Amino acid sequence: MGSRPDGGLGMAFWDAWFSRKNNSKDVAKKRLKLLLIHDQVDLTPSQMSEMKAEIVQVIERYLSVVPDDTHLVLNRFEKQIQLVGSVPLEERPKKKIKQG
Amino acid sequence: MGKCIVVTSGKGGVGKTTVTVNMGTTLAQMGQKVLLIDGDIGLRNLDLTLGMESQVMWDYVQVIQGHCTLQEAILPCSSVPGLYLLPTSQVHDKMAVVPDDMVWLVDQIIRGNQFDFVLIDCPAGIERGFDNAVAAADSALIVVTPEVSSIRDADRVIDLLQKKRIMDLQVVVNRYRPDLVEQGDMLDVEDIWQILSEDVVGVFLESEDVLRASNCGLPVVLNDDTPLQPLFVDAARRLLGQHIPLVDLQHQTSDGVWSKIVKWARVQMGA
Repeated sequence: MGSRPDGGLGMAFWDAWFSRKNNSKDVAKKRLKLLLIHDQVDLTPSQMSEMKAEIVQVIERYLSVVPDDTHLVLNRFEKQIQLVGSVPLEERPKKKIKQG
Repeated sequence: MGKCIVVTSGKGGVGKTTVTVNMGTTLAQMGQKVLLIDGDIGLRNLDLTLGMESQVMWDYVQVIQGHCTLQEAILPCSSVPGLYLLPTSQVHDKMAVVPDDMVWLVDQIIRGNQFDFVLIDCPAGIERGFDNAVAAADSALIVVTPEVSSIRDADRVIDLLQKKRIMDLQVVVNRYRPDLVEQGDMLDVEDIWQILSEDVVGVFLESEDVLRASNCGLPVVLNDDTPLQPLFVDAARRLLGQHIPLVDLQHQTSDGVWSKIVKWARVQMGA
């Protein structure tokens, strides 16, 4: 679940479903926004996680990252679709590149 | 030069035919000369919604195949002066016509008959029937209901239309329930506008009046008491380029604003 591009949606659903306000339309809106972005980008969930793994690999060449906490999501800002990533580094990130 | 608008949605059952008929009727009542074309070859029903089924003799598939003239196939609508119908065939299927045939047909219509608007009622789906119906259109009205599946399909259709170089796209929201919006169980117009990023030119309430009207074969806007009538008038005015601010539509979830809009629209009409 964690690596799926729609990770976090389940939470939104339950939050909305059990909250007293019970705004099912907020759930609809969140689902739709994700759906449309993924329809447009046309990447399968497995391609998404493959891409994430490759990006982590590239960063790992330079920095120590925490791969399990790395998130890559598609987002829309107005008409622009963005790939937004959060790549947490290990506690004392060290430059991995060798000198000289 | 007449404008050719395809009324489309992707998803079926969202009210394309209702929107086509009532938009056409309202435009005709405003003095425009309007032709409605039934885009659903093999499943003819625009004539039923207009109560004209007994008058249909010819259809545009026969026009394309050279069996009759365009003038013979186009029927004036007796209940609405200025409104005309070009029926489709009930016996042929979508493959009887290619998109270029529709381009030729609409070209003949616009050249010969001085129509201000040609509205094409598109079949559901995104296959050949869709390709035929959108081929001749210079703009599109996309009908959505405030539901996840309808909005997703609308987004797909918008994408397909843009790929076909139809860039003049406008959205109408059908089957809108202000009570459900108010209790947080229905997407509101602003949500839909944000998600689809296309202008919303009309919002039509869900109403039993639509079924009653279609039972009788009359456009629902001919009923003076239906709340849909002023809403179609607003939408038609926006289609004609009049500036009726969307602000009114986007802030209707707060208490009582919707009824104020309806009253305001009635006053504008002099009703």
